Amino acid sequence: MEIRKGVYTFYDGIEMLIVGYYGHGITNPEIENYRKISYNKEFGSLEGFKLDDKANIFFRNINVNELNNAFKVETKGRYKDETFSLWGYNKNRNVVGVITNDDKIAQKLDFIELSDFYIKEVSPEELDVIWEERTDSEFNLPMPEGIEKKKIIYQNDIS
Amino acid sequence: MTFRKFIKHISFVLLTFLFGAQTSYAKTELSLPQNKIYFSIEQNQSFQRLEKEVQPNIGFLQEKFRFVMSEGVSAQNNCNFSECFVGSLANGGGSFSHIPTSGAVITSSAKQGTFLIGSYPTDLVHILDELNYPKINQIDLSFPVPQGQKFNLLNISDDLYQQYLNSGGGFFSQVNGPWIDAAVSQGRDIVVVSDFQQLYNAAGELTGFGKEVHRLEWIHGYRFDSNTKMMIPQNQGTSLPAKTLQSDYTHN
Repeated sequence: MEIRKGVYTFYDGIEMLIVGYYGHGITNPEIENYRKISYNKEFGSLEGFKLDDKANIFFRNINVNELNNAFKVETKGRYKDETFSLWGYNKNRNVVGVITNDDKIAQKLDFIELSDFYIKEVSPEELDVIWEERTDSEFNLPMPEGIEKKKIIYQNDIS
Repeated sequence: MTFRKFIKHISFVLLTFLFGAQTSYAKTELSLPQNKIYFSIEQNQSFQRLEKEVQPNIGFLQEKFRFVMSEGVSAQNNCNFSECFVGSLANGGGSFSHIPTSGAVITSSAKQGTFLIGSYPTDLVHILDELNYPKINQIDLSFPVPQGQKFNLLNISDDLYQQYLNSGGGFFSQVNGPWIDAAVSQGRDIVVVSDFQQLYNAAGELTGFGKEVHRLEWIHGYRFDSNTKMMIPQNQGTSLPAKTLQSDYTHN
């Protein structure tokens, strides 16, 4: 199961994650136009991409002007009759990270406090349904043609 | 303005401040030795109080700094105001005139080699400027504190950054990430100088600061202590594993 959160683009026929560069002390405004795009190394090497073996990805630096589509992905799920954003899936422990910024819900459901949200690891079987929401990104680029704006990626048959 | 007039003016301002504000600012010590101007803040003083109490002093010092510099009086001392003030900060002998947006209070009691993490535009740019902190032109993975400095900050030169861009990127994983790892392996104090609203940019992406905090939390099992504004090793008793690999967690 892959739980996605971030901005993606279809590039060279592969969905790639887009992340920004934010180094300390950088004053060159041109750098603001650059992003790192990456994809899982299982897809194999593409020209211009470098392997990051620790992260299991191929990546390259790209000017945003070279992108022609982009979309934001947020994965959500229903847990204990509430809708939560999901952070990811850990295969080793078979858990997804359920996150919230709601103090009361976090306290009620025994979440752990991190710097930017509360998190709780739960088994996917404890969730009723998991879906991806795809929306426009900040790049003011069109979403890829034919993309589903809401896609269910897991349905708990028991519930 | 003659020297006599200047002395008269300084004395008037200083006496007005000391006698007029002593009651209100009793916990803030203003010192004016012959060749140094600095203030110190008591360690146990809460930020809420500092916000109200120190700001007038900062304003006073800044005004005085401008006055002294414009009048050229600093030439009478062994070093000028700027040099001494920066020297005092670099060695932890004072505190920053820029109040960290996290509310962190950084005093002379900070340990040598303390790492300061935060957002560049909201906090670090000001702190780096106050410290006259040198640019890093070459990466040493032990990330030593520059000579004459007390704090460890990442102040990468544009040229060095451009080299990473030209070679395909990977800046965070090759520079910021190892810098955070060095702070952990060296057992340094890590003070957060920016508000956590700066963890993400307007587009919802993690900033460099955000990635650093996440690396501490997810990989090294650190947690933020809201009292000290420091990142500290995780306490026992939480169910999230201390050394969860964020990348494994996210991309599996």
